[in-house]
Amino acid sequence: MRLTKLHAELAIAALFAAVVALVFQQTRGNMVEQGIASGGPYSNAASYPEALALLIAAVLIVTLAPRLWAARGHTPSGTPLTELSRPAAMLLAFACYLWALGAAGYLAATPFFMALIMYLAGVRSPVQLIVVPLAVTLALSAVFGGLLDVVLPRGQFGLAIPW
Amino acid sequence: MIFEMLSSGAVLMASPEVLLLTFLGVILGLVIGALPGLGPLMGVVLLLPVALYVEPLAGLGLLIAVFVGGSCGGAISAILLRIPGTPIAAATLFDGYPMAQKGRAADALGLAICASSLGGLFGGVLLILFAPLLAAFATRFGPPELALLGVLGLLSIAVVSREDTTKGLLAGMLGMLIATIGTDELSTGYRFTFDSYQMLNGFHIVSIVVGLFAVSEMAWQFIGREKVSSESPRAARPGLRSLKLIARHIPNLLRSSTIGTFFGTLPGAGGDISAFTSYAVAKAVAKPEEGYGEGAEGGVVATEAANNATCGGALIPTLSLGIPGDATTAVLMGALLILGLFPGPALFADRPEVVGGIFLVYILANLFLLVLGFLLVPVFVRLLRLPKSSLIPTILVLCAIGTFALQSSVFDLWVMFGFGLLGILLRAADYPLAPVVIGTILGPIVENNFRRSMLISREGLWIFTDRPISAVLLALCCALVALALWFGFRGKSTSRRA
Repeated sequence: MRLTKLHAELAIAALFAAVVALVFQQTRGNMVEQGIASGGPYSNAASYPEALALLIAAVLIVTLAPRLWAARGHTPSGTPLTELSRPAAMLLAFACYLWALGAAGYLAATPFFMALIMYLAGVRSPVQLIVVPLAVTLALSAVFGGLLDVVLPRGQFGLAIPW
Repeated sequence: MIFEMLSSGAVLMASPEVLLLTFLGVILGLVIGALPGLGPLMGVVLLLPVALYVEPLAGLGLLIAVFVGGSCGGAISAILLRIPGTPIAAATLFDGYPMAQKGRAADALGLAICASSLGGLFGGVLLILFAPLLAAFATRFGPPELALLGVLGLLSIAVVSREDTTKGLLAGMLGMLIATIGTDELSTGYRFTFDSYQMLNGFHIVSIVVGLFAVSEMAWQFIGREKVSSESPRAARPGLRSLKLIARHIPNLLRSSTIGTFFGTLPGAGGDISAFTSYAVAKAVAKPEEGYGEGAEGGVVATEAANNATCGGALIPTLSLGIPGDATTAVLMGALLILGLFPGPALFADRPEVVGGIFLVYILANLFLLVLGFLLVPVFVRLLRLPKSSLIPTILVLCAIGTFALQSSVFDLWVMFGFGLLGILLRAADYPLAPVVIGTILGPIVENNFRRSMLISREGLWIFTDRPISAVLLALCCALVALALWFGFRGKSTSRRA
């Protein structure tokens, strides 16, 4: 199984169609309830997003849809799914890191996340996997925490370096 | 007026913080520009959160200096590795790499640095001369003109920047829709907030920009599609001899800088188009014995002068009209808006010292570029050996804590992640990302001024044709829409033939 540009284009076209549907669901529902979907230009906050949604729908139908239809028979070679496993793992690790920032704090989460990404990128040297993440974590903590006075996430353990 | 602006700006610029951050910005810009796959836009995106934590002019100095340094840094890897660090340096390798192959790497690097700095200074002089004039003219603009100007900026970016205009338009409109999320400025109603208090102010522009550009780029690099060179960069230290060499190319330098500044002022044209155009012009004008494509000094001068002059040119519409020239200036404009400085004629009238300061930090960044470029090239050459396996996690951590630092909000982190996924999908489908950001920035300008126009109009939409300037802008918008549709249909017929 390969993912091609056509697959991505179809996914984006579906996304645009969903956005258009969502706009009308909100302007005809929630915005009517709020009383901001009618009246003059001052009070009508729905007409502008509706106009944009209609334009998006028109462009999709008039220009993009026929092109996608015409291209369906000419599927060029794409990226094998196996090749996408590394970036998918990276994104999953990044999502876990974002969650861990709130739960465990910057100092606890960052070295593990960096080491994991480096491992995914092919680094196998234990020294590199320990030294680089620790050095970068401390350096960024010094810049943001020490120089810029940013309070980095401390997590449930309250970990922080008093720069 | 210009003199007063510059003298009040000089007082602001003289602070140690501004000088230090401009200095650091040039170094960081050169480093980020030299590393293949990154570039001035990525540099400005990554340092945007940092810039918001310091004094406004110091932060803007940092971002502008990264823009200037990054526009030149790409030449280092183009010349030494035959990999342009940034797309805008792609034309530099036509002659820069052959020069290095002939043992003249130091000369090529020296010429690139001199041409970048002098081209940037030329663009800076035109910025100082023309931005106030354009801003003075724009004081005649009312809501109808401002609304149409926003539409014109977005249309020109979609039409000029990419071959696929349809995708550019769709991306721009998506950005404009994203900008409607949150509290409506006029009716104060909530739009697309889904009863979430965190969405009442919409999405933070930094979360959008970092996700779209930085996170998606890192994922893209992880697929391994980036160009990789097995070559080890050779040691090279440019000397003062480069100043003598550049003196032989003054007409080429001036011509290329003019082309670069002109293309910079056109929203969407950007440094790559200006570099390729000035290269083509220089090659057409040159004598055959100069050997363009085989290591001609003039080729390096033309491309590097043009792509740095573009920076100054791109700042002209950004500062005077509030219309960003490209994605990097869109991010700079986002920074100005977050800092409470609204680009346009009002900025020149109300905060002339800030405008003067911005002019001067731009000039200063180009002067620093000349000095630092010569001194630090050997260091940058060593940095080209930095493994991506260390770079990617560092950038991802920087994305996370930079976004978190804005409002100490975990919600912003998830917004960034979401836009990262959107950016990956858009890249995979070959959609341009810049129109999304520019649409997000220009969207509120267009909507609010359109609705204000309707409020003051007694004849409905005819207000846009009754006023001369707005009628001209409307005609330009119609011409661009016609062009966009023509490009769209041409693309359709091309795909049918394929």
